[in-house]
Amino acid sequence: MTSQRVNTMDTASKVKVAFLVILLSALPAYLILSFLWDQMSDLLAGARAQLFGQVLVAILLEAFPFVLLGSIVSGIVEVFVPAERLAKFVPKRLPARLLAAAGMGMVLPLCNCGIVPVARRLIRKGLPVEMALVYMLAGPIVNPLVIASTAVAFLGQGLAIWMPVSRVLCGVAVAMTVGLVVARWGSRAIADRPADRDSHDGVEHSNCGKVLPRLLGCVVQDFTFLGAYLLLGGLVAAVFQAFVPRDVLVSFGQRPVVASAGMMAMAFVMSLCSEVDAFVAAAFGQFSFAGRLAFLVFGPMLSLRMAAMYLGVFPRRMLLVVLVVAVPLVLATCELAGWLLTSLGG
Amino acid sequence: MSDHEHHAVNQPVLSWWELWPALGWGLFTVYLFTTGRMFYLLRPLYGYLALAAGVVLLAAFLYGWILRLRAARADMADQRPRAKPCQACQVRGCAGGVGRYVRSLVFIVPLAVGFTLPERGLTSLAAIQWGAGDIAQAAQLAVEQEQQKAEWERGYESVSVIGVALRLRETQAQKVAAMGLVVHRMELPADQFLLVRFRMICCAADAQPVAVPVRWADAASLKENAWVKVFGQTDHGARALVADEVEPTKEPGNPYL
Repeated sequence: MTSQRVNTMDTASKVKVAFLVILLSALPAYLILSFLWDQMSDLLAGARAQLFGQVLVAILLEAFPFVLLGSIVSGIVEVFVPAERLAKFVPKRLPARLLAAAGMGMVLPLCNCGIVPVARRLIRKGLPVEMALVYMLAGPIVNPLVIASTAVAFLGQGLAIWMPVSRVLCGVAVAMTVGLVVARWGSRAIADRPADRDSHDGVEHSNCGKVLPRLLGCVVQDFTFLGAYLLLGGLVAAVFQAFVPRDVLVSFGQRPVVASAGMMAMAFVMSLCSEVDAFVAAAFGQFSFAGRLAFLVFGPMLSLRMAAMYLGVFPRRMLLVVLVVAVPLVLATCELAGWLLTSLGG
Repeated sequence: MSDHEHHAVNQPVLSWWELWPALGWGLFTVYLFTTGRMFYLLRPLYGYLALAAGVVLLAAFLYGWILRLRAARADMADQRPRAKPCQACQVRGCAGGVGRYVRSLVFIVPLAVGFTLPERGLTSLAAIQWGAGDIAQAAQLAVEQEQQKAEWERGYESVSVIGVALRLRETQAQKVAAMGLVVHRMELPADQFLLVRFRMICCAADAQPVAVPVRWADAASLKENAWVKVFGQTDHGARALVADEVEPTKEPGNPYL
């Protein structure tokens, strides 16, 4: 009885103290918040801040449906595909593994945002890391919708076949090479990450609960997890779009390699969806074929928003490997394709 | 605890931290759609896609909330201590992480920014920032895009800014009318301004400004970012539209090409 009264008094005094603290802090808090709100309002009323906001919200509005779609596919994989069955489909030889991973983009056709949750889930289900990485890099390029949109975009320029074919070949070659490098030197480093496993404490959690709640859990969790990373990437991309003039990147001009590097930088900053980027590339008529191809190959692989999402799936070292290997390879393969087109009289 | 017991006890229940972004983003997309602001940022097709995603998120939130209520009722009936959900597998009874709170709170940023956005499309700053004034590029677009049927207004052929760029390249003294945004640039003579429209493929992030120079004696009197309709004649040599008349007009519901 006594102890109960002591507990009750403790609680009551805690409530009183809390009330007093809230009361005393209310006025200063109100003053600080109103000052900050005024400052924010002035800042947000500025044209540049509005442009930043428009780009940020537009990027997220455009990308979130695809992240959600990817999260739903990821949830379906989680709930309906047992890890053992997935393991049966993994080829034993490395080249076959990499080729199969590149071809997965045709079986699970998603754009660059939607593919990340699926790849993340597949890693947790036991898919080799290099396969998931190749799927993430090549998937948005070999997606049939992306191939079709590239053909349509370049129809008027007589490149309706050459551009999509070059894009797919260069994309697959670069993705497989990055996968090869990671398989040889990097995959073990992240294979031991506890978050990448589907079970822990000796319990296989993928069997917990009913189907629909499990599916919902996966979808919402993936959406929140990767959406937050997408948001960070979107923030950086919006800052670049609002504060760095595109002329700076376009001014790389017509010189070979330099122009391609400029277009890759542009793709990195603009962070476009792989399903529509061909229409933007087609409009850059002043750039060489190789430059526009570099834009189309590098953009779906790595952009500001994708880089942030990669960080949610792979460690920072992996992102560095992708950058170091992919950048020169994209440049080289696209220049080669451009040279071939010129040699063939295209 | 056996595997079977573990699975029976640990029904997946999402925390408020995981559910609120679905609610917040879902409501935000519905707000943007119902107020028409969505189409200042996205092409109609992608706008409907964003709305569909928002509705799915709201449904997910609702279902998650019902599951939470059911779990709470079951816990009270069993007088079982409530376990925290596991970050890795959404199962209660395992460890959680601080990261999910941070990731959840990050969603406040676009919502705070989004609700303060003006009810209009991209402005002159975007046109300057993203390279308006490249007639060659506009003409390139024109060759690919301009397929509209001719419409006539007061004896002028009513076309888009892209259409004007195409006619500037090919014809002299053709009477055309086009609507767009006024953008002043320092490098232009005082009697000229740029008539700008944005070509959007998917969202505001990929919008490309398409501009044609317009020569008009009262150019300086026009306000930056004002929407105008220009009636004029093409000057092939100067690569500019010589205005006979410039009329203020309202920003269209879908300001993009």
